[in-house]
Amino acid sequence: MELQGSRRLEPDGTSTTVGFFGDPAGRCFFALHQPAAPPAAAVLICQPICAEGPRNYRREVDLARSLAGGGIAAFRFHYRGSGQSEGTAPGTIDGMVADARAALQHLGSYHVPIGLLGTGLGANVAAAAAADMPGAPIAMWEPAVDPGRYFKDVFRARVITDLKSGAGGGGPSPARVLQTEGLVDVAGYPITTELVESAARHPLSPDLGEHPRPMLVIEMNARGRPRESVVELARRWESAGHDVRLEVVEVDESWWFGASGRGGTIDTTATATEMLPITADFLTAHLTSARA
Amino acid sequence: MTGAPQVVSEEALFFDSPQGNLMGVVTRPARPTDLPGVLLCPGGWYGTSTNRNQVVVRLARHLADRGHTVLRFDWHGVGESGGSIERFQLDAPFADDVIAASGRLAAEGVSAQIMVGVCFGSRSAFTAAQVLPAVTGLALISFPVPVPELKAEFKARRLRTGRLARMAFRRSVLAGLFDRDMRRMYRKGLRLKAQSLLRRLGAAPPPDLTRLDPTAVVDGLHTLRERAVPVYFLFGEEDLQLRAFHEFRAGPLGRFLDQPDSGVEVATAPGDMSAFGTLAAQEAAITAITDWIGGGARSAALP
Repeated sequence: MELQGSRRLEPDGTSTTVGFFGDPAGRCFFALHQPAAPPAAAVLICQPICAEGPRNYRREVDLARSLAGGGIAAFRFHYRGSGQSEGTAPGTIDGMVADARAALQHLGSYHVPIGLLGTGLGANVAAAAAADMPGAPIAMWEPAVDPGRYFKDVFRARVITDLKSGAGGGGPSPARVLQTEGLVDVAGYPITTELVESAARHPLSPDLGEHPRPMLVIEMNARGRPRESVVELARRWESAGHDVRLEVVEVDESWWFGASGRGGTIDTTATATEMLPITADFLTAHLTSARA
Repeated sequence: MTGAPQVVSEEALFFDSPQGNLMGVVTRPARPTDLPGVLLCPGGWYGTSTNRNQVVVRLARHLADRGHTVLRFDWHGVGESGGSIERFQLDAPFADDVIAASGRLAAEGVSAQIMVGVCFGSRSAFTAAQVLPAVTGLALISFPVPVPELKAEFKARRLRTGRLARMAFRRSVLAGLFDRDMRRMYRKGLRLKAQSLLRRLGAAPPPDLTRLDPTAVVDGLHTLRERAVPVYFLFGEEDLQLRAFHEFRAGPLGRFLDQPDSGVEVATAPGDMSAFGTLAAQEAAITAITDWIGGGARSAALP
């Protein structure tokens, strides 16, 4: 089905089309970045969830624009119930994977090699969507290696937020609230039992399949070295025959705590961009070699 | 909880602003009505026009469900919009973007418009509304008074010394000493507290309240009153901006607001409205704005 939307011609000759796709009962917002000429390849970008989305938003837009400038179409979208998309339910990872697969169907109409990028839990979504795409290159920014651990960190953000606001200390833990009420409010985002349980069904490793593929994992932290769990996972992937590249971008960003600001100013340049050329080069190299 | 309305029609579109081509989403009601259109101006903290957890998207759909045509948009340099920005400055609002968005909303066939702005968006809407004759109502959520010192002062005063001492020995707080983020937060809290104590002892200068000229705000309100445009200020009870707003009420702003025909309504709701940091605050904002547009914006219209 052809995508309907509004199109903007960019100064470099590429174009951006925005609109909605999918089931009329719950459509997803999309932005398709197309090169001036027919694309040599295509990339699906799976965004992270909740507060991690806005912190990576412009980075993903810039990457998509850069890919389009290099002759690769890039498709970004918002999961149902998030961003500009329809629905208000927080959703599940299975639902997000279904949205990603629907997006992949549109990219399939180009008949070119397809790669993927996922950030945070979006990496798990991308991995699951790529499971039946043998050899498709996949890039991951700060993937949620262990979804259980991921949500522990999310709940830690809630504790820190409570302490910052002076409200913390006395009440039940976020995990306890989730257990008893089925929903916990973390920084204004509803984390539900369904979301947490569905994430547990999508740890990274099995979803990536048995067929070797190129993988890029970019860790972003102030330590300047990857998490042990990521190093161990990369080792396992390599021994399974995958071509794994592990990079670290040294940044000090807290995705759950909003933009950087002081007084009456909000600084939008505090977001690191070093991962953009690394990712664009990785995807371009593997997708164009696949086409050749 | 506000019930989720049925989305009738949403369209993503582009339109030009002097600073770049902007992306917006128009939400249309099931049937055309003669109700005013609504322009939603998002906050700068969050980034895109959705605001946190789709709060602006949900507000747009609620208003469309009640018959309004609604437009939300990404600021230039943000989200899907073109152009670039390095920083949002609360004292340098993006009025040009609001004016451009107002023009795009007018193209939907609505002649009268109500503007709703959040934090930075409220500053931008307030500035633009003064030169846009189509504006018939203005709702300003967490209208910011950009006083850099005030945020630190407010936080430090709220954290009582005795409470701070008790908190320091909690098991969870001691455990936080092993965590980098937590240590950073503790350091900041102690610095703020020390600053506040020094101020109380007269050893540090008072907060700088001079950056916003209250006269400019009052002049803007006069302009809107002359055009019979009702203005609704909505603050969260935990907003830093609420305290700053109260500081300004002590001056010419207060004298203006105390007039029976000021056309200004000031309301508060629980929580923090500037960042919509809780689900409850988001719901409260949607309800308050929907109610005001549905009733207050029309009944408060000035003679």
